[in-house]
Amino acid sequence: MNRHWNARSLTTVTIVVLSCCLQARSVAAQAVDESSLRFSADGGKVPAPGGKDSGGPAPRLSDGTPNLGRTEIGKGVWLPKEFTNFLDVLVDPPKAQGIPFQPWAKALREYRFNVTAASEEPGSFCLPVPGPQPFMRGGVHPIEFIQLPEQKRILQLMEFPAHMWREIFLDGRPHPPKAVLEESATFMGHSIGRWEGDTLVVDTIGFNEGTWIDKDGDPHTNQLHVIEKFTRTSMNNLHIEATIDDPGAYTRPWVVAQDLAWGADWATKEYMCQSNNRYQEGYVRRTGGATGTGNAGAEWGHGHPAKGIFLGDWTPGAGTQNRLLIEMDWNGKAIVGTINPGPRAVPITKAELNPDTWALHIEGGAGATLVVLDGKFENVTWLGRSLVGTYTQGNQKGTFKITRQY
Amino acid sequence: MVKTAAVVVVIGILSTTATSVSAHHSFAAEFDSTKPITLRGTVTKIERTNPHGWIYLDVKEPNGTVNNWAIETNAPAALARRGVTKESLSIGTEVKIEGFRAKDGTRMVNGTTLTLPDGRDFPVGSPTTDSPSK
Repeated sequence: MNRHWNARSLTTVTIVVLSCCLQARSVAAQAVDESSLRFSADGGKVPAPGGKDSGGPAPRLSDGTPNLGRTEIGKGVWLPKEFTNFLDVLVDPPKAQGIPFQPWAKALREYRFNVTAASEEPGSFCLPVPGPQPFMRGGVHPIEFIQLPEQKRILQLMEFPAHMWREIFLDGRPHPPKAVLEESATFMGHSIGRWEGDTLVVDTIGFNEGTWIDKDGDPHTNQLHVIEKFTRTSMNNLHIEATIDDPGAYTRPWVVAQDLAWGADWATKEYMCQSNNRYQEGYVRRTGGATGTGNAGAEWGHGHPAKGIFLGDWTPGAGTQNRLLIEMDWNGKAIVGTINPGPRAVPITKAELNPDTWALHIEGGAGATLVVLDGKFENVTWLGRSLVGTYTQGNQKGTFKITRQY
Repeated sequence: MVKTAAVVVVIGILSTTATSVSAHHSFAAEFDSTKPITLRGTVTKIERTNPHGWIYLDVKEPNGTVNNWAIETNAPAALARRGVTKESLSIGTEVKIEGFRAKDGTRMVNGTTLTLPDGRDFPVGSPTTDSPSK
């Protein structure tokens, strides 16, 4: 049974229970939805997105483009709803078909959610969340657009989860070349935008692999391409539709959508997540030490489990040690890489991951240099995950353990 | 001095099922949704910090021992929006807090509702803490 829907049912029940205890400013128990538990600065209720109170037509800037922000001096921000599972907001393919995961991505998502209770989710460590996630996960943390038409750019302020901002260029520039983006991949990627009628279309690539697509564990690779469409359908409603196109983790692009309410008397506030994040302390205590998650490592590793540099030893028996270094990458279709890069390099000729068991079979070289490794991942969600198993080279046999460097 | 304090484990509608969804961090990684708890005690410390606030309570156990409990709450901005301010909650206040216990058995709770001595109560948990009871 889907855990998530259990949680949502319970949530509804509990909201009703809690609401009974709230003061007069809360809504009646029989009419509760998530937005009813939001309170504005003066205690007033925030209008539900797409509700009856549209507040009139969407405002425009003096140049005629839609105004995605405030219309007067004062307050006003967009209030995200809260979704932890993007399946909840999936519009293409239909929800019944589900998110079109590649097998490894589905298995990793399920492992993250069911085995480790999403405890390695990067946002929990105050790291940014990419793409449309701040719009669909921010809860009480608002979002604001600062339009600078004379500079042909838009700034997006996001209170959650790490006091983030994003720059969207509307000056016609292209994305940097692929090689540049690969070297300078970032959490939020590189965003360029354009107006299509009254819709702001934002195209983003250049993501690193330091994040998850959603809170429950949907992975992505550095091939992630996000297209977000923002339409202010009325004064009080912002419709967002986002296409997740990642051929490294999914079999086809998929689309999520939702509406955000305008919080007329809300404003962004300081939210320095790093200031007292005891979750990180508790995580280290619970896992017994350095797992790598949450560390500001140069090599992010939340994508394909085999991707990374793995270092360790193989040994044919007690008292002997042979250093073993393997570098692997995932190109969206195959694991490629090298065993012992350098003068003794042996190219990987075959590498197959079984996502049901997290077993990895690797073959490299040929003839006298043929190397065969049969290993299994330990702590597959950790940045510092290990691969453990048997090593065979010619008539030499032994065991190996290599750990991902981060 | 602790005047009135008690630990009551509540068994009821909140304990029927539950797993959790989560916003800032995973509720299920730390807390047990099948272990709701009600604490009555004296506020000894308040941390109005991000990403979560913390309220510390001295609580008298049924055997008379007094222990200090840590209750995780929503972010301070969210608490203030809901009316939990420095004025309404200060050191020494005797409060009731409902929430869910930590999985590891430590005296740590994910708070959901705070009740002041005058009977006013406030949601102090999710959306940011994301306990099962939003």
